[in-house]
Amino acid sequence: MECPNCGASSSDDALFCATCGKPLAAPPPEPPMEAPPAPIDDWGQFGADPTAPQPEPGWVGAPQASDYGTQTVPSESYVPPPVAYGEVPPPPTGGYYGGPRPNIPNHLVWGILTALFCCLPAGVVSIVYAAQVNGKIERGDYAAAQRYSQNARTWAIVSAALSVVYVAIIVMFVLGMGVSGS
Amino acid sequence: MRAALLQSVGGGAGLGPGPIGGSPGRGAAALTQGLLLSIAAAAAIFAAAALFPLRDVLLGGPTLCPVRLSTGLLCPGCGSTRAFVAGLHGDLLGALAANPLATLASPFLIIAFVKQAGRLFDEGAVGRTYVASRWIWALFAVIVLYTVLRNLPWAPFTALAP
Repeated sequence: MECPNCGASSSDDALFCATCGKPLAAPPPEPPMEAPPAPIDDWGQFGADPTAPQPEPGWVGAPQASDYGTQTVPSESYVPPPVAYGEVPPPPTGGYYGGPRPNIPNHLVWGILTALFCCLPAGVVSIVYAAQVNGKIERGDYAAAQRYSQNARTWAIVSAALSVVYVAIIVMFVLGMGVSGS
Repeated sequence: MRAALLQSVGGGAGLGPGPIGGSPGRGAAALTQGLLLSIAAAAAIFAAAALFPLRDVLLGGPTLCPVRLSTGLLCPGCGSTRAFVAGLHGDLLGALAANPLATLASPFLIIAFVKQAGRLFDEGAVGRTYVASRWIWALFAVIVLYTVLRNLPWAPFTALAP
């Protein structure tokens, strides 16, 4: 889109002009507008309570910089960025809420792999759960994202088991051909 | 589809924060090691394909897929074994004919494999790529549409069948 102030072009989803810094005609951040973010309780659970269940060893622990922002959050555990509930997040951001996303795996690669190379319907189910994991992350509902992540993992395991069976069938067939052909 | 897959590789400008986790310096070293391991593994697999003449057995054999045998339908994975074997013998057109969607997806899966191989060397150094949920839904829609279309027995769609 073009900046109404200086005419420079910016990427379509930029909130502020990269050249002059003026706000662009705001394309609202979609997930927060379509569905309200999770209740504040969820933020409190992940931000303040040290006894809250920690989802993953890979949970944001090390300081990191996003490619799309300069914001770094050096923290031991995930701390929600200081954005008031309902407020439009400040650009440029590393995410819809201005901080790094939590590292909740969605096992998407397993889903694609098994959907396209093997075992309907387990792979397709995996992809659906993967989409739901990231959808929940985008809404800030990390607890639900964790649950869907577990489901995605379960289906990835199911499809992996089916893959083993399928490969075993092929191997037996190939060996059988080898024996009968010799 | 293409955008979704690009998203999964490049991190997707504006749609997400790019890589999640990982550490830039250590990640590059681990990725290099993972790439070397992947190249070695690929070389071994290609060599095996060249040495053992299973191609005709795999391409000319009967249908073994339980889904195909029980329902008679072509699932999105149908033909992927043939596509894989064709690809191993350098037959890209043969791979596309057997399963176009799987063939188009394979470069992105290879990237995912290389990253996973990098994690063998330094777990946590290689970040994951965030794919916005809308692109995953788009991928889901593409797969469903692909499944329906390749089962249609008419001229333009039969090209999608193996």
